[in-house]
Amino acid sequence: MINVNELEAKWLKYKIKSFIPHIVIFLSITIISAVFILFNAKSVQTNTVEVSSIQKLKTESKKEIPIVKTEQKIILEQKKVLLKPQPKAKIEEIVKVQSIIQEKQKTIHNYNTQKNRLSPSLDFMAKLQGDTLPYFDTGSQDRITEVTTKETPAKVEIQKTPKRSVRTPIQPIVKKSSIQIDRQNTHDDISQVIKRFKKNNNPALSLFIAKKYYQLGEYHQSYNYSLMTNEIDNDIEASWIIFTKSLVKLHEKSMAIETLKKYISHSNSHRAKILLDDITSGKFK
Amino acid sequence: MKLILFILLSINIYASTKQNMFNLYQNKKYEDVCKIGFDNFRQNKSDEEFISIYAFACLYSDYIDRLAIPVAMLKFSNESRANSAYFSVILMQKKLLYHAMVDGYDLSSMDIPTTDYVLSKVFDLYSKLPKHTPRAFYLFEDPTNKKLTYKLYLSKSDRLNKMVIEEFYDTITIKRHVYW
Repeated sequence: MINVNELEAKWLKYKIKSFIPHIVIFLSITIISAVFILFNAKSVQTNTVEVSSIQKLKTESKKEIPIVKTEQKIILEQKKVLLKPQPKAKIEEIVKVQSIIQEKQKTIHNYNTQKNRLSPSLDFMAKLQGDTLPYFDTGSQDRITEVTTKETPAKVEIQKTPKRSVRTPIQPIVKKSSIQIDRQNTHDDISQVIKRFKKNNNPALSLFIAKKYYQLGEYHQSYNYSLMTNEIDNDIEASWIIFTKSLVKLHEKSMAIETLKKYISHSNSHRAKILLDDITSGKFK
Repeated sequence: MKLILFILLSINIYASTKQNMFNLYQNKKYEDVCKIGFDNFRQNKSDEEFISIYAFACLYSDYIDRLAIPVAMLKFSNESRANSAYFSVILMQKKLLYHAMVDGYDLSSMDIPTTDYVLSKVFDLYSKLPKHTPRAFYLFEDPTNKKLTYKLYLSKSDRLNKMVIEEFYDTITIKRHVYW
């Protein structure tokens, strides 16, 4: 015998299953349309806000015109008053009012002469730097700290090999330097860049690190990294400039002048000449 | 699966272009960055970081006319609006100065914002001059550094006159900017 109940249950299941794709498509279409409508509504709202703000501005400007007119009227009235013969007390009052008006005009004039200076905002560069970091990231956080701590002795090794005449007096200072990762966000960023530098040995990165350390006032580190940059590529002008600037900050002015002169004779760099001028004249300390 | 692969691949290509531009920018190869940005602009027109780096590279490589599109596109964040205003001022000053140099348009009545860019400095110095007959060249001294001077002149040719700004430090030419 055929079990009708079982067959009916199976048929029901089959029917429900056959409806599933239709339901899914319907739901997805409704969700997409809802999102689309929401976005449209937002843009319409912003447009209406803009339109209303423009209308407000227009009304405000319309309102402002009578004020200017009234000011002009006052000045005209004052002039009229001045033309008529007045008693002494009144004349003194008028003179006072006039002096106040003149002062106000002077301040307005000064305000006009002071030009608004626009400056670029380069924060997006830091974001870009942050975005690009995962590209080189492979290990866990613990591994990162290990790598960064290992970097300091390696740095000293590189420093020992070339150009002894420049480096010898700063060697004891280098021993003191250590990268404190947990102190600031910038230090954390630098440590990550150092990690990248260790992997690909890109002089642009070491130059970036040197610049960052120089900005932070850690001149020993900026000296080290600019030196590394010079070792990798000795034609990077910015690196030599940071190197000599760090030397000056480390009270090695004579050495800085000497290296700058050597670099100028080698490259004929104008920026280096300007810096040399500034150092010798005492402008850069 | 194919769709996911395609999306991942396109994201990777997009990221590598940006990364490449950023690396070149850090190496001060502004002209290369400007060219790459120009070639890939359509694919990245919604990315404000991309537009910003492209605009700064074009500015530093003296492709100032290319700033017009970034000026219009940068608007969604506070930072990009500031940069948009900065670029628009430089672009306007370039156009006005060129108009003044070629056609003798009077800039002495102008009172517009300024920037730290060399073109703005020269524009400010030129606009301070009273109404005058056109000269073969103008020499301006930097108000903050007396050793820095700017020479402004027109390089004339049959087809198009070009405006040249030369930066001098103690009579040594540091940089030459050509605009038209």
